[in-house]
Amino acid sequence: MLEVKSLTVSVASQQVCNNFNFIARPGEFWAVLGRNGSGKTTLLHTLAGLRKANAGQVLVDNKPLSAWPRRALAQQLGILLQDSEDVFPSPLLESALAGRHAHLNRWQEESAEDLNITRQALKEMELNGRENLSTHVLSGGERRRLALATLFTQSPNIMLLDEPINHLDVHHQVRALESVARRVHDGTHIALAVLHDLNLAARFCNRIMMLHDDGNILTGPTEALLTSEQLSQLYRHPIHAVKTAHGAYYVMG
Amino acid sequence: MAHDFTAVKVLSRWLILLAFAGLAVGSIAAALLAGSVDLVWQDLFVADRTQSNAILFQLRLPRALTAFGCGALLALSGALMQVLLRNPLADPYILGVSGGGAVAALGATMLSLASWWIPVGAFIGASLSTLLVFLLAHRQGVWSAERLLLTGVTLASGWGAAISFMLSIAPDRDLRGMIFWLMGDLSHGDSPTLACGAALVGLIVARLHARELNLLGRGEAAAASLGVETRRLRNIIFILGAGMTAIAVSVGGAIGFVGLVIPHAVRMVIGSDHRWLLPVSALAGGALLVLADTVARTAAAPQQLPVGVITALIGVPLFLFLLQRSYRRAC
Repeated sequence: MLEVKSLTVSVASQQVCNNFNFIARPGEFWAVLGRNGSGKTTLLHTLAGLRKANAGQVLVDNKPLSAWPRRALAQQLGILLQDSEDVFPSPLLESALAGRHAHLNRWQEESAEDLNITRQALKEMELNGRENLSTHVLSGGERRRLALATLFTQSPNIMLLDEPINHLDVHHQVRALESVARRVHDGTHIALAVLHDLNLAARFCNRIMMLHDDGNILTGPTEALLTSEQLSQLYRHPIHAVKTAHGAYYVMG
Repeated sequence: MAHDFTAVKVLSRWLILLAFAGLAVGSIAAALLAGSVDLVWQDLFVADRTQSNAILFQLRLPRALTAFGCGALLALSGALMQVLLRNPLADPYILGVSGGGAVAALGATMLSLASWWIPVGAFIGASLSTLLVFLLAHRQGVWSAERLLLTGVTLASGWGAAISFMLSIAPDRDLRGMIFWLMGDLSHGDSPTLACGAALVGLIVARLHARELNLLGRGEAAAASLGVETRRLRNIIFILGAGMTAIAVSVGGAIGFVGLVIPHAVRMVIGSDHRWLLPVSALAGGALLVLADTVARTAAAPQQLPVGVITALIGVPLFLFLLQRSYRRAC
């Protein structure tokens, strides 16, 4: 369980959230929506313990982040960062194997089991057969898929995803979100994903978090928040919800 | 098939490690045999020929082992600095460690202090310089690689100016020794236990953090989210890297090139997994410096050349060759 208690975060002059309270439970797939610069990344980093909040607490399994040793936390909570930057290239398999770090102690080497988990994750992101390839020859989309595979290798119960489908083609966009959704719908995982594609958010996410520029955050079920009025207000741009037999589709005005 | 790939990979890495160990032993053997008194390999195993014994075990062996230890220290420290600063251009001296050491060592020479003051002064100067960078870069609590790099480089250029100033006012009798020290010189190198011991301890400590070092190469945030206590790790690497450099500098002066190039060359051969990179770098750095020092004391005998010149003469073409080859492979 991921819980936020009276969290206040601001970066430079931007108020990201003010006295924000929030609980995410297993089985919930949250879409984090907001305009550029509204603080989506900052909020995710705060939830992952990568930066300090101005006030308030983030709790994972009822224990504040500050009380978690990094390695133990990494077994419970993982984050897909917006960019990956590896100065020294390595083969894909080795790169994704890094996800197992939190599951190994200082004296252990990766076991056959760890390799299996890693290969499985690479396969899930359709990177199998390229295990030996060097990371520096990958395209932007492939690099993104490798980062997702590394997160699946890490296999935390709480997944924070900062623009997970950035650079991905349509097939891999759906494939990546399906992989996350499959874990969440098992009832064991929590996911929070920063998304800009409203149709994919509507298709995969059962909860919505809206970050307004003034630091006001709305949270609720998808049906309640993904409405033409809410979205138009959030993005300050007209957005129409077109109702069809297969659900609503969102069209930009 | 898929599973064989890793087994083959591990095996090939062991073979590379063994090959470098062989190279290291070979380089030391060469250092023992080469010199103004020619020895043949049988002399290595003869116990009672007193003169060759004295040359071997009181002169050449300590010097070869000192060179080996220094080379290993510099290569390890270079590998650590490159991942700490996330910058392939980083070398052991980039944070001003050698500059601080040099100012103290040259100062000791100019003040005509007893000769043991030169290594001791170099170590103290290097450590103070390290401490200064650490405090300056740490002040606001946030510790970015860029700020550390800029602090170190700025301080290093300050030391550089101080060195130039000292050279310009130094009396002629001291000048030659000072320049040799700056270029790296193992002719007083008689600290095999210190150099090799420090390299071994450094290797063990660094190797214990090897997997975390791999993650740190991905950046601060990525490493932390994968389970690394990044602050603690950075402090360990910084102190370890600077400490190893300070010892190398106090023993052999500012020997260039080894620390920058060996980690890169080894990465091209064995990859960037620090669990392999670190031990192979130590062996390769040690072997290069032993060979370079052997050339330095024999090429223009009885005149001794500064070893730093030779490391560059051997290393530059070797590295350019490896670089070309890796480009061709990537295309």
